[in-house]
Amino acid sequence: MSFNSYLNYPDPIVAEAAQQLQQITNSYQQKQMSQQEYDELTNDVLNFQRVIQLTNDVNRQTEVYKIFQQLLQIVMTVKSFVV
Amino acid sequence: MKRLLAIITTAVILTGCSIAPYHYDQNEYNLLVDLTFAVKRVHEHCGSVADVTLLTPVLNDKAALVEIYVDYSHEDKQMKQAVKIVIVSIKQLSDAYQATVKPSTAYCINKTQIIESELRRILITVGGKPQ
Repeated sequence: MSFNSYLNYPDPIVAEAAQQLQQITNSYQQKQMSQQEYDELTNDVLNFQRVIQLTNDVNRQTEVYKIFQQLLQIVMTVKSFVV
Repeated sequence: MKRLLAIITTAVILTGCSIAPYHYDQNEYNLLVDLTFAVKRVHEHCGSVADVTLLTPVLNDKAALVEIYVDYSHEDKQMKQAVKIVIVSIKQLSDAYQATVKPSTAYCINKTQIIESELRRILITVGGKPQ
């Protein structure tokens, strides 16, 4: 599981979130930040309230929501592997 | 004469509507640009805990000013909510640097990038630039 498949996603909301998460995850894996910092930053990126502010298109919101759930799974997996 | 006035008024309204972005407010735009610049300054100093500790209270004050202005200037609930999300992030950053245990450089770099990208989106919306 990785963010690679979302980095060039056609929807810029998804692509930007994936890029930010990849950078945060890399820092966390290299132990450059604490778990608390990792949690806060990933929550910021995956805050769905942000998406609601960005678009009024309900179909787009639904699609982004589903992808954000997948991204959250990757974030949680990374967290479980870093001791 | 009345017909001419009606035509001119209609033309002014129509062209005005097509040029002016929705809810455009120069003061609000300036405050947001100022806040974005302050975030950039913090981002550039992420390598120095002492610098960021000094800069974040200034950033926090600018964010509070934007929040008050947006709260009282218009009724756009979406804009208010978007600004609120940014303000919360800025407050988290500021609080983290006022705590005894200072955050990591990586936290600072990523947090300021997230805030900047949020502000960029808000500026595009407020400024009326097509996305």
